Amino acid sequence: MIEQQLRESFARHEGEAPNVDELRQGIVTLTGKRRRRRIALRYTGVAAIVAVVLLVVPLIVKNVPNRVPHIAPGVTTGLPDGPLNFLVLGLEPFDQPGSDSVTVVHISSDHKRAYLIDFERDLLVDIPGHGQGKLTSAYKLGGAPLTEQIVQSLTGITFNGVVTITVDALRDLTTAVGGIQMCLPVTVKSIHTGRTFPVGCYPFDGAAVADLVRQRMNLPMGGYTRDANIQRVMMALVSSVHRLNLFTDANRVAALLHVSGLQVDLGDIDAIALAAQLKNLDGKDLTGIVSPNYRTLDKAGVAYEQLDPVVTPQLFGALRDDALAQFATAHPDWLVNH
Amino acid sequence: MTYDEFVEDRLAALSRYAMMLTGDPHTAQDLVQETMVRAHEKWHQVSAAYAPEQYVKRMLTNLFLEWHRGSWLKRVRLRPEPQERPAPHDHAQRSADRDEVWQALATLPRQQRAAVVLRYYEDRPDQEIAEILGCSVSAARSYISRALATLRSRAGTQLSTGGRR
Repeated sequence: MIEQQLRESFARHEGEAPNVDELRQGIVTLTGKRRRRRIALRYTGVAAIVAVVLLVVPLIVKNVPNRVPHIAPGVTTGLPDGPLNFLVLGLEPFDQPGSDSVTVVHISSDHKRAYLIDFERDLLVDIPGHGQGKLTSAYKLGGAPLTEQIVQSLTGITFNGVVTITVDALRDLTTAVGGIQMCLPVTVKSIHTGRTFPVGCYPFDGAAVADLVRQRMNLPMGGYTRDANIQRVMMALVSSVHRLNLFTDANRVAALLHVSGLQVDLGDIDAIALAAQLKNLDGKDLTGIVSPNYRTLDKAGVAYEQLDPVVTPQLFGALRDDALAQFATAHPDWLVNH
Repeated sequence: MTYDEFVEDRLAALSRYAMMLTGDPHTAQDLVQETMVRAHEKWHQVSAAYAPEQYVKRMLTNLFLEWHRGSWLKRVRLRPEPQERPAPHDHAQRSADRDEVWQALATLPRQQRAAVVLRYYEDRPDQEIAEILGCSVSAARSYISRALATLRSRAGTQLSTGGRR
């Protein structure tokens, strides 16, 4: 009796169920928002790594013995006219690494601003000679040159240089610049070494940094707190590098030469001229642009990222035309908050 | 099954199920959207499950059951105020009486409501109801019988006395 009434009552309200098309639209919108937020959090770490590499790289290259450049007093040119583009690849910590992060660094033609555009590692791309696959796998298949080729055909720009960096290089960079000074807002206890990092501001050496950035368990927000810590490390590194004096800190600069896991190919760029141009570039001159992702594509059980069909052409057009400042103004949603 | 195929084939059914659980189209929409975003994020896991549809249904049900523990749905009111009864009229009165069941459903604890929806809307066997609710078969049966008892006393009394005529 009551059972029958229940069935009738359910049947009567079936028509009130949410409209399927509206639901779909809602899901797509919500998914996009979540993805952008998640990627933005992860991305800030990458942006900071790139900032460090940009600042450190010229120091290293300058000291490579077979590339000692001549500097004429008062001459600050030696860079090609117009904007500069570099490709920075963060490698996975494996024997046969893929690229964990792929970042385009664009320096405006007045060399006063730098823009960082991140590409998702799982982006679905055409890999010449290997059909379609994930961007990350291109490094396994053909190293930096193949990855460079793919990003060039995606964006339509050519690169002035390519930089690769491993996770271990972070520790060595920290040691090379004489450690960093930074502040922790929460206590971190290492599950690897048992070491406790208390709240407060104090110096960290390379080993401490390597230990700290591996901790994400037992933190208030897990991986997000870890990402924030990585970001703090990177910003502190930028400050340390800024303080470094090319002439008086010769030992430190020499130590940077021995940072393994960092490879730099600057092509025809005059490293000293680049260093001179970039040494005044500060955190505030960097603009991070979020990976222009659209939605995940499921192909035979594997999830791939896709580029946003509307925003991506505008972004790449602005990149080619050195008009990223205008893009940034028009698309505040796609920027990484400082 | 890919995510897109799942959406194509199952979204409508999921939408109706959420409507029966929540009793309110807006809350149902929030519930389905939240579930599908989460399912999308871990689609590997979902599609590897023995029965993806069951898996997603269980995710949705869990979200519904957990909302009172300070979760995302906290702000949403699940129990609408009882509607004002229409003026006495034979035909209208009969359908108002039947709506007593719908109103009474809103007063059930969520586990009981979910169990009743799975049994009398989806016609699931006890075993599946228990799986979706994440409880034992005997607990699922007890949810249903307690729910029926409540519904009988709330809706049934008014029905048998002819309402408040």
